[in-house]
Amino acid sequence: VKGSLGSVHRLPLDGADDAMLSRAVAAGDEAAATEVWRRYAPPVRSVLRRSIGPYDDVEDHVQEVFLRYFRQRAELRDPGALRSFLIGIAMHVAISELRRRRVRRWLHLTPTGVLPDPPAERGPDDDAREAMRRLYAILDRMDDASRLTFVLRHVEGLELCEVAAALGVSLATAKRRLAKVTTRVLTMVERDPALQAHAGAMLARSAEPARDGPREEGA
Amino acid sequence: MRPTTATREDLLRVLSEAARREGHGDVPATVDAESRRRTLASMRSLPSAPRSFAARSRAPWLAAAALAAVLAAVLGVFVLRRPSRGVLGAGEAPLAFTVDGAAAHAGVYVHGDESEKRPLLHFSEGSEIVFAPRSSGRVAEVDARGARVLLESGTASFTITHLPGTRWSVEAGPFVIAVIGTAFDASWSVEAQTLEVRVREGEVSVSGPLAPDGAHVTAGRRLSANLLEGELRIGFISAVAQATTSPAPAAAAAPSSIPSAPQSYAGLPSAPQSYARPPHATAHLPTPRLDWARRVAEGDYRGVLADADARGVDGVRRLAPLADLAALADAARYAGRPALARDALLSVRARFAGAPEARAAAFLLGRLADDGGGPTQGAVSWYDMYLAESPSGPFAAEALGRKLTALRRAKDPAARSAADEYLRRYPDGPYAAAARELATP
Repeated sequence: VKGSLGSVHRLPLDGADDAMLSRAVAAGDEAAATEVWRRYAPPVRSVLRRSIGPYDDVEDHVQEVFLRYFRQRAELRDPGALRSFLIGIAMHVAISELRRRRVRRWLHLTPTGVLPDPPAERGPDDDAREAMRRLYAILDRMDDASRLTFVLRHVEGLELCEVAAALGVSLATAKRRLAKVTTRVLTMVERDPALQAHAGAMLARSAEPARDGPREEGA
Repeated sequence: MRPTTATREDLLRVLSEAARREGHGDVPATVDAESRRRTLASMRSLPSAPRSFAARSRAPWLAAAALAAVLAAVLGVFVLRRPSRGVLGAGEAPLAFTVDGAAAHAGVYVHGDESEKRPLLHFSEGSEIVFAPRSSGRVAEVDARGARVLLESGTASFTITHLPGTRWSVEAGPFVIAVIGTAFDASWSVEAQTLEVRVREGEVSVSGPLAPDGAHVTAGRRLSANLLEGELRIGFISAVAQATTSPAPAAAAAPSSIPSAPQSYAGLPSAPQSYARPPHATAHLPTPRLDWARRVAEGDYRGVLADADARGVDGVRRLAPLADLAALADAARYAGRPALARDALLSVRARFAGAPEARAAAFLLGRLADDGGGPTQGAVSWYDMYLAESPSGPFAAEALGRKLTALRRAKDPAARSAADEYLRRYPDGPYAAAARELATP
């Protein structure tokens, strides 16, 4: 495991920690790059989706994140902080995409930049989908830094220090920004009766998980 | 208004959970594998890539060929997806330009003196800017896709050549005029804090303090903004104004093609090539901003439809601004009134031909025809029209996929060629499986 480049190639990669993996990638090990992809493509994909919009195709952006990582791999000062490094790159990619979308909204039919589809027959997932459409319409009205702070903390579940690191700001700034954006978002949620109704339906369902299952079984 | 049945904490929790669930990182294994393959292939090609990356390839020539294709595809995607300047354009030579025939560079300051001589800026891709006497500005940045121009005071006429990826912007005070390919005049007065934009061809989007989401101004219209009075208006360029501003041959000479009655939309129409209202008929037409786009975005579809019904749908179709008309179409689609949606979309195409909304309307008309169970050819014609007008537009993949589905449903032999084309353009698209069943073996 230690020593020459040749021995690095024989690393048991699935058991390697991030630091070993980062060094192997930096040394040119393609298998290590593949393992980094296997390990971190799903979280990168999810953080991009949650930042940009849950129903958007983000594959191009996932590729962009990993390409940037490879270009910048020499800049990774702490090889053990690979995940944070990738999330930080994903945030830059997300911000770029959000800016592009803002421009693109000028070219679409509605201010959201989204062409709404006519509603189909309602199902249990419709509340969630409609709620998400409306929530992300609210997030579209936030500045990029605030939006991503909200997503990383509340949706992604990162600790505040991780949010600060991912966005390259101080802990105090992240804290202040989070308090402000959370209040703004919730205020706007409360002003949207339809969103509240969808959220209420989801709350009601989450409170009665046991009754839904057997009914479906019986049906 | 506080919710009575859910606390803020409940709302935050349930919405966060839904966002987490809906935005999961799972994709089909084939999608993940293809993404990984492309990324690793691109990695190998990076100049800084360790030699071992490339050296380990079993068939270097094959990898190089695949790599070139992947890079071309990735670059193509970026070119289509990135409106912002300076990313892809970084490696391309910026446009060259001259001021009254003399070579100039970014940062040049242009001032029209008291004489009638008007400074002319000519760019290498054909765009031109003319500053009026006593007007001044600066070319702040130039890259391969366009330029960022500051209009400091006075009036300038812009004729911007539309090329793929074109991206120009004009800044006047706190306003930004986003340009793709168009001809327009812009006037900015620092003292009066007023902006006027008169569009002769194409369309611009003006954003600023009174239009944070951007206001579209299409050919034959003008936008007037007064910061001191907090007023922004969009109306038609009057006959007098048109006669006194720069010549606009394309717009002025175009025949009026606005349908006057709904029945003229019957059948499968083709969009007119250009549109200009007859000046005498439009100079005094009211163009109230109904703000329907915002209401649609907020989900108030039925309110918008009720408003349209109250005002008279025919009148709305003939007079409403583009944004409101497009919003009416959305509201009608959402509320299940396909006939009204179709009429509104047809009006968008008839009145605002060339606008992005008009191109998108072709796709939506195809969907309406498709979903309405009408003749297959109706839907396919609209999809073809969209694909012809916007071959790389945001709905191109969907239009092609729906086209092949409609043709297959009709057992039309043309489905095979549509499937071949779909697979060539979108091998991983959502209709790829259906296309493979139909494609030429």
